[in-house]
Amino acid sequence: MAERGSRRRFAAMGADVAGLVLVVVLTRSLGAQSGAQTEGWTAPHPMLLTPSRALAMVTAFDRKLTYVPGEVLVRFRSGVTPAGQQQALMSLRSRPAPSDLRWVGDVGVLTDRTELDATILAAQLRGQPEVEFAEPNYLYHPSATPNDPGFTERQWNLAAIDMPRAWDINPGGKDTVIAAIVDTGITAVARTYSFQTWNGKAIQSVSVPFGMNPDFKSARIVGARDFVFWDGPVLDMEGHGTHVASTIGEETNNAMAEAGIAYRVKLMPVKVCLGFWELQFAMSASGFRGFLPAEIGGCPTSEIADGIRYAADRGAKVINLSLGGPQPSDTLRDAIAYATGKGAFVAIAMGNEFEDGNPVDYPAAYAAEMNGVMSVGAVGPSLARSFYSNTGPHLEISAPGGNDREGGARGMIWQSTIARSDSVPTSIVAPRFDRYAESAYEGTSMATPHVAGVAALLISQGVTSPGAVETAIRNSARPLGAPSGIGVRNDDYGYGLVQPRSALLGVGLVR
Amino acid sequence: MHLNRALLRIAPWIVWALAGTAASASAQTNVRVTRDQATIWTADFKDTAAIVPAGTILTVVGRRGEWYEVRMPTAIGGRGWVLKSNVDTNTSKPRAGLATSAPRKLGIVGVGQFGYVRFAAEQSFNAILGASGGGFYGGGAEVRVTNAFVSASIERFEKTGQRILVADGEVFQLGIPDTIRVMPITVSVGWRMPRERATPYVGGGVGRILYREQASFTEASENVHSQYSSYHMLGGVEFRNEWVASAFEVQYTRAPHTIGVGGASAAFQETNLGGLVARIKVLVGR
Repeated sequence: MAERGSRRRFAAMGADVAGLVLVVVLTRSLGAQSGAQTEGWTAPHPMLLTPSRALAMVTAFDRKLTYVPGEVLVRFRSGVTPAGQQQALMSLRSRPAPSDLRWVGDVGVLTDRTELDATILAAQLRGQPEVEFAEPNYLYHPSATPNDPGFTERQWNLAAIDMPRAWDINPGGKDTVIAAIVDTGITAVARTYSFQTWNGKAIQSVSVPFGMNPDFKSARIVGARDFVFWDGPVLDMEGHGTHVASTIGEETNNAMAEAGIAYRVKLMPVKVCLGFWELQFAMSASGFRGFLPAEIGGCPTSEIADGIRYAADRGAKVINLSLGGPQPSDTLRDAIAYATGKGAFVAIAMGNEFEDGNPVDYPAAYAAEMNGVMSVGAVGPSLARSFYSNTGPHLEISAPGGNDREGGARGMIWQSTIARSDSVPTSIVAPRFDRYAESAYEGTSMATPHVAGVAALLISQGVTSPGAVETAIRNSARPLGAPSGIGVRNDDYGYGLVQPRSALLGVGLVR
Repeated sequence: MHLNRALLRIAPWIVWALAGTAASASAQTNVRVTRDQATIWTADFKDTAAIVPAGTILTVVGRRGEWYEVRMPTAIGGRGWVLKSNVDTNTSKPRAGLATSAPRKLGIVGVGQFGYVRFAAEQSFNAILGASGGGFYGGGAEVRVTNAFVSASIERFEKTGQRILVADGEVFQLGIPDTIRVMPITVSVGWRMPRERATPYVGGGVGRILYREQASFTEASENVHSQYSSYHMLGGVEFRNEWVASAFEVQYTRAPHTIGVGGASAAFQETNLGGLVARIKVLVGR
């Protein structure tokens, strides 16, 4: 079963020597293949997750790297011509050309598999006068842990923030507002695809059915885009993205599953994260014979940035980032600034590593310095800070994120997502992703969509500026912890617990 | 909103009435008899209509040569003609040596009033109501002792706007109806300065402002019921016609440090619930 925290453990292998062997085996088995194709199988859509990319992700996991090996992000100084870019790129051993770059906004993504250490690539480029910044293509991770042990009490979280009375004021928002979930995706089709996978003895083709969440009306899913797996329909093979989206906007008052906060707004699935199944399918298609570690996966900076810009360009007014990592990234910060400049409010998870040293997580750390961006910490049913929720001077607001130390599964966040029993990596060979169930997750990933949902309601009500949305959420928060008071912040809870009703009610002349 | 429309509809009539009152005051000039036992003649000048003492105030309704046609005192009734030389048009300054009638020692008038208020907390009211003020109505009473007066009144202003969010000085309306009611209760003292055609006056006083605010979706405990102290200065001019008079009055009220702790008034740092009032009064009595 998945472990808590953003850093995945390669439990099956463990030692570095064994890991090196794995990498060698993988490299040799893949050879120089460039297409996701084994004998008798052709990808139904052009693959974004190429074999070399998949191998890089596996290598990153194996070596516990925080970046995608061989990938670096570079921004050239203003006014640098292509000739100048070439001059800078000549500093690398592989001597790439500017045409080898893939552009995410004004940031070029360079893939150089001859040098897997992206920190070296970045350092070499940073030394060039034409370069404004260069950084490895860091990997971020969704900030949640699933657990669905069975039927128990549910959605204490919505009662804790007085959602029923908030819905009296604004029942679900408006369908003119789009909330983007930049995550593992929300399945946007009902279709069966054939993939290659390892069955323990051989690579075989499996038919993998996908279905849309019945608690999302299909008309509400707009602009779905996959940036990381393939150039085809968005498929959630992990469940995190769907769970997050359910908190924001699961259908409500339909006698089905759970309730979502802004249940009338449109949802934009933006897939930027890879999990076990995407990588297993890609590796098996390339001829890799074996199972990948169950906890493998990540969300590359380049795809996150691309996804954020895409969402902003397509009219999303709320962007949910339930992901994070320990590495700062100018690319990510600039993408978020781009989004707020386009009028989008951005909610970001604080991170779940409080008991692992409480590191500063990014991009949450950027929130405090950016208007219209809020970092979100988690509380449990008692409204005390969840044990895992990171703290710090950059924490701005708290919301229910679940805490299984307060009543087990009852203390977690229940929403509708793909049934995990259909795709457990350690026990399933041929997964299915067409059945949905109410599942309990906990994490700052779950807290963040509460704030995103409230933001969507505020925007529906006419608060059109992301900075104003932040002001409304901040000024209406219920103070928690110490020091506390209206407008007073502390490192454990930020400005306090989000209060949707108070935010939507606004103020009169004197109160 | 309804009150404003009502005010707009009747405003022309008000102006006409004021003008009429003022006009009749000039057309129907009052004169004071300066000759004791002056004779007022009938229209054909053949009979004596009345003999009146010096100081009697007569209302001129016409003129012919050396004669004024006057309306005689109520007790006598009717009309007649008096020599211009037997009367003085300056009814406030009796000629030296001649008997004059003393000003009325005690009078009580009832007052109905309406007008427009512009609140000092302009930005706050404008953000909520879409305007910095609006129309109001009210009434009261006034006791006059010679030229001094004491008055008490109560007025009502009520308007519905929207709850808002204020962020960096920008106002976002949230579509939630919010009703504000302001009811000043005031006591004023002042001094009247009767003139031939009109009576200017000035005064000042204190008051209590009853403030009510409630919105849709709020609970009783979230609504506002407050009272604030205030003080004011006022000035106006009255035009009298027998038992009925009209007046135009301007009042400046201050209620400092009454608002500005929360809500829009805190966002705009406005703490004064007073403002500037222009009102029209209709007074009945003497």
